[in-house]
Amino acid sequence: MNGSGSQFVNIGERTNVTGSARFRDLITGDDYEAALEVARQQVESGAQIIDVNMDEGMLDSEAAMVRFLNLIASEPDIARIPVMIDSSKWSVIEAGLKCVQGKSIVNSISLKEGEALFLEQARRIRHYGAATVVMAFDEAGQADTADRKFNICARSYNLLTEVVGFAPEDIIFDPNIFAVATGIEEHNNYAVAFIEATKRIRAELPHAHVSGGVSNLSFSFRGNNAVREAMHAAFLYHAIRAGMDMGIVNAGQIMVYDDIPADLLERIEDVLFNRRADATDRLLEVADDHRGIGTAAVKKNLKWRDGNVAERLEYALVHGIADFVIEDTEEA
Amino acid sequence: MIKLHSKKPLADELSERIVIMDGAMGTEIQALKLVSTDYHGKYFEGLGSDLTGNNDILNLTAPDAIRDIHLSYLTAGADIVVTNTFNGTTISQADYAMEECVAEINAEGARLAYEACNHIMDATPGRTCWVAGAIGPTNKTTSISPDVNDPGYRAIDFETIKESYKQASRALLVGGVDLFLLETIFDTLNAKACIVALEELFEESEERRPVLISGTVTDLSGRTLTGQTPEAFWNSLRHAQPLTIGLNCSMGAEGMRPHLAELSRVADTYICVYPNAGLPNEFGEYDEEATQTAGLVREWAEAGLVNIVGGCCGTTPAHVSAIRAAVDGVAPRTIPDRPVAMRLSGLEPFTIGGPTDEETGV
Repeated sequence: MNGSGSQFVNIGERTNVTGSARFRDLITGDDYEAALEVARQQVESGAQIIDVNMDEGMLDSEAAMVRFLNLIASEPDIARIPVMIDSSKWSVIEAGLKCVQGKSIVNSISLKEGEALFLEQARRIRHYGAATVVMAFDEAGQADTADRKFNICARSYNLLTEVVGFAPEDIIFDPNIFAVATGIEEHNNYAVAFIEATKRIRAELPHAHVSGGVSNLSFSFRGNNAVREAMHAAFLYHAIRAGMDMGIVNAGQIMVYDDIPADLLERIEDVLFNRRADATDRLLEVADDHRGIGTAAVKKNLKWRDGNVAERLEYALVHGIADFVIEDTEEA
Repeated sequence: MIKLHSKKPLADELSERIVIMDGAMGTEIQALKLVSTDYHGKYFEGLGSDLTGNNDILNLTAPDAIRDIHLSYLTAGADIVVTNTFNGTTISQADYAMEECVAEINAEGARLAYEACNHIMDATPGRTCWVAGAIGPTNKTTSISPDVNDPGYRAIDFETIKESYKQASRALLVGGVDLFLLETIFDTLNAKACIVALEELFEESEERRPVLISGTVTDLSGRTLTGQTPEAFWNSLRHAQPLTIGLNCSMGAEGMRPHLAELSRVADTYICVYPNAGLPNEFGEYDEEATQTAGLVREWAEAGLVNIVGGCCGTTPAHVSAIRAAVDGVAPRTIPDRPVAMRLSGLEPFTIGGPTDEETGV
């Protein structure tokens, strides 16, 4: 199995207590069996890596990380794919690294607390044999402009490859996907900055990868999943072309770019590319009208079943719908 | 007084020819039909507990027998002898309550192999013999629960096994090994702990040794006991930059062939492989004749799959001699040039970036 070439790698985000209220409740409620089902569901929905995060104040995060990773190890249909060990606490990351026989990804390290700590953590990751995400974050804070994002990534890259001897192909930069269309003017250029930084990273830092947590982008549209999905799809369409080759996503809910209604797409892209001062207002105007377009709605709308068998199979493949695959292939 | 030989680095030899590793230690010891008092020797005379079957303790109690086995393999044509320290960790020695002897077992194990090599090198100018310090998998697994009702449970953790490996490795290094051999790996996480132990040891002692890593597949599917495919296994351990990766033990040369081929295709380092003498018969004995094993190994060599070959359970000096003759003059495998990509793994490999396999034809 591989994600070679121009393929985009989906990292499942639902086994993250900070991103999924349901998963958080399962873990804090000690229902690990149901939590494992969430992981399984992610794999079945097409996640090629699963992100595991236990950063919750009410939890013993280290113990939860260890227990969940040990349980995953006993489930071959989950354990067949690599794990992303995600925590803002190094102790949780290191505890996780001691549980996985495969080659996993650490998420994340950064220059936030200076070079010495960054180098020490990178050395340890190298000894454990993992790849790592590096956030565009330094002593001065999180990078928000394209220049700052790129410069921090370049500095990190040089330290990792020259001082630690880290393999450049095992470095994944996360140049920070921040929320757009928030109503705050300084935020308007965030998507542009990410995409520009991504282009430069891919062009100038050989073999390194670019990833990001996509859900942040649409934070201001909480409650309107359809528009959020459309924003993610449009963003990914452009970010992937800029060189983003992996992302933390809800593996079961990625809309197809071509399914986004044209008027909505235009307004979303105005926001993403910061093309006009009133872009946010214009997107807000139509957001409510599009509540019914997400993947959940696509799956419920069976109009496509009226097509011939070839059309039906194509539709099912493009939209990742497995419900009719047996009868359709038998018919074909 | 032992004469110090300056040895050619094994890496240099590997680029020139197929190098020969020795054969089985355990079954050679069994063939000596040692009894309880032999295991005690003078060293533990009068000790209450039974040491029968603790082969590693023989480094202390019957050193001549162990040195003679090394000499018999070197005489048969082995370039590398492997120390009698497979169970020389506190974890494995706990079975005999001999944890306190771990440092001595390893240091003496290294010394005996070293002496045997020196003996041959003194007698044969121009010949180089290397000592590989054996580090076994232990009898514990960090990736699997021994309790079917509690799959999240582990009988041992990473830190404990790492410390145990580090202690054994330190004594091997002090004892004078030229190489480290992590062998019969059935749980890659155990091996990863050993790699951390070795890295720490190398940093603390300010000297390094090449590391040879050898996994074992448990059935015809070609997976390790903990479920990894050969390529996933390699992806998990590549960061150790081992001099060789390979397979040993398990089902004998014939059954190993496809899994060796997979590893040989994906691993951008040298390949070391040493099979059992076939599958054990109903009495647990190995019947495969030396010529038979050697014939199978020759086919691997001709197919360009191997850089170091030797024998595991059931193989004898006769097998090593036959293997040496069989691969004589056959060119060693060349290390494949793989495209740069992030190569991750769970139980299965997962590659991100680089050209597709179709594009490169691998």
